[in-house]
Amino acid sequence: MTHIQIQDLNKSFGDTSVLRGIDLSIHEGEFLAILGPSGCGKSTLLRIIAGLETHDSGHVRMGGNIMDGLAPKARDVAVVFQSYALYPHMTVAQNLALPLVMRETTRVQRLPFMGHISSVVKRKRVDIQSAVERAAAQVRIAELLDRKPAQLSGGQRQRVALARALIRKPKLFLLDEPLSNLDATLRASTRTEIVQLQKRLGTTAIYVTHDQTEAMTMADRIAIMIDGRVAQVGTAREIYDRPKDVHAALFVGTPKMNLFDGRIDGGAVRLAKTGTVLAHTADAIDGPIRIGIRPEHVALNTEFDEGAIPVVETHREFLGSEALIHFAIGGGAPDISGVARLDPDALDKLAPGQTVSACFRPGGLHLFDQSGLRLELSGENLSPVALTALRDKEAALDERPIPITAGI
Amino acid sequence: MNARSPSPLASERPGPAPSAAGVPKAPPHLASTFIGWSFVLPFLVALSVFVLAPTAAVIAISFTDWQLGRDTISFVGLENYRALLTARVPRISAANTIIYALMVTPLSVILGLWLAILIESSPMGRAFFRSACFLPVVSTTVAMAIVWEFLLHPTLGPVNSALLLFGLPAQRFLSDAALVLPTLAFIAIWENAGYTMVLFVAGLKSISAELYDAAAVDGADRPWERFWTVTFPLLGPTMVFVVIIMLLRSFRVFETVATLTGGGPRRASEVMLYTIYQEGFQFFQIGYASAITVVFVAFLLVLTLVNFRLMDRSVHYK
Repeated sequence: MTHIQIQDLNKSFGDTSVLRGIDLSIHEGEFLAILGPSGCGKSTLLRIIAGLETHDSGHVRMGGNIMDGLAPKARDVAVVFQSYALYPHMTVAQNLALPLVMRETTRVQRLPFMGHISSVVKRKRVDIQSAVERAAAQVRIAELLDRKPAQLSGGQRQRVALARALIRKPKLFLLDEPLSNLDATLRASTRTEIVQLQKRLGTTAIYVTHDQTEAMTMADRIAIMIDGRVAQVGTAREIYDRPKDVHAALFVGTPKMNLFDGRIDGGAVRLAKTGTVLAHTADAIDGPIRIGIRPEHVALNTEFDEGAIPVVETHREFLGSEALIHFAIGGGAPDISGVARLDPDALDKLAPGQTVSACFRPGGLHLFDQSGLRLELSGENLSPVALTALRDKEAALDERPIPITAGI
Repeated sequence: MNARSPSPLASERPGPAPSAAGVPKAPPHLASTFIGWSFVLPFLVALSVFVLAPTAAVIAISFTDWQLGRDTISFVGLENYRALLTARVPRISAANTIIYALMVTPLSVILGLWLAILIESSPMGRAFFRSACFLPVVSTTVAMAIVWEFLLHPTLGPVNSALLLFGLPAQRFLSDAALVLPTLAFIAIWENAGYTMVLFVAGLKSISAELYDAAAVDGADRPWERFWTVTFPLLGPTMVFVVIIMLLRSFRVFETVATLTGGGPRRASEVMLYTIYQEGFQFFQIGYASAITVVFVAFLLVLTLVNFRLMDRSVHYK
């Protein structure tokens, strides 16, 4: 069931267009990450959903109701801010209680002495107090309730911010880079905790981040935002395996996907630099293209088969479980460079400066047209060039055939 | 502190550095001590010459009967202080000063805060309004006082013309004993508000916008709620500073009194600094004036310390 529906949302600050026709739907209970480089408009989108910012055109719907123009408190959303935005003059308990106090008591009831006069107020205060304790227990900060934010560590403040968000059981969580101020170890453990918490509560969550690891490990689906547009929405797997455009392809994956200039002529997919035929297609589209291949789909070898590209190793990085070889596709300046991800054992066969053969596993080829959109060539039509040296080893890898149809 | 902190580092060096001539140099910690002192010395000299020595001199003179221009000086012990306790003028003067400060300080602070929030909340004409409000602060108080004298003139002044226009009786603002202190306070508030406004603008700018966002999401989005939930608490440190500055400024009132009223009518606007000035430089009773000064300064010192203690604890949220 669709919970949040964003339709053709546009926003400009002066002459700068920040959001350009955003369409996005988020299901009930889903954890959606909005992933993008800084300045892509992801935080603005989050602020618009929260009601902290107005949009120029388009609609935000929650559960079918149009939210446009509603104040944040009328939307029943909770936000965890990057800086946590805790009130420094209040204790943790007061910080947690504020959203409830503001919503559930009137201005008169909030006066200090009202708890002694009115039994209604007294009961409300007791309720709020127990809600505070429950929320604190959920994120394990029960022993910190009497402290002020300045007396807490970064991780503890982060928990307080989370507790303040979940205390009034909102319909939607909005998290704006909540882990970016934590150190690496804490970030990894908090990641898991946030996801578990969200699943337990079953509340829809939108999580804004520029960190692909966070997005890929936490989210049910990821929306990649580039330059004010949603480039692709899908699971981490879908985006990694079949990026819809060059930007999405480059943004997800470490090291980045290799990208080379290429062309299709007469059904042959060629690398522009060397003219090497990488694959054949029956689709009748000729012209320049861009060829993407993830580092793990590049095999370096000492045997030169058909379809192999001579490359020179320029730099190597040993990372324990894997090794990265940076290489240049030679044959005159300017060199074009790429990265291969190898098994560390394979390092012994290679030497820096040596010319070796690079084979692109056909299952790993991503073709993009000149505007950066993915070219879908049919699997049947795209026949890999013989790669005898690789074939046996890579049978498993090639189970996912290359995508299809010449529709651009 | 300054002079000492480099020495632990210096002593960790592997042996003394040999000098060019081969003559053993002074031990490194002595050198760094010297460098440290050479940085502090200019300040110490200035502090001694311009602050400590005059203060000591005033305290010393307060125990004498010295009169300006007289060659003889003799020690009179606490005589000046005894006279001070029994005299009528310093008592009136102290009372007036306190009443004046109690009018000026809160109103300057509230008006400045109001102006700051007003100016910062609207994107239009911010720089203009900020400058306009700040103008009284940079103008010479004496010159401004003379302008006010004209404005408030019983017969020629536009203020009284306006009162008459609305059918209200004309007022002798500066020569009516009941009105003179409030009038002087009004002029001071007009002058101070720009100053406190600038300080509060700086304080407002340091409040993280995310806190207002958080308050809006939490349901505190009406202006008053925003003010009490975020603005006011986070202006705390600024508030302490502004209140103390304003207290000290209003206790030091002199220019308007000297220019406009001379302490009159019937000592209704007699204030501490004016009393000290009169005793010291018109009646040449330097010893007596010094005694008043010592008491006055001691009072301000205690006031400031108490203020800091009381307020500081409640605004630095640790």
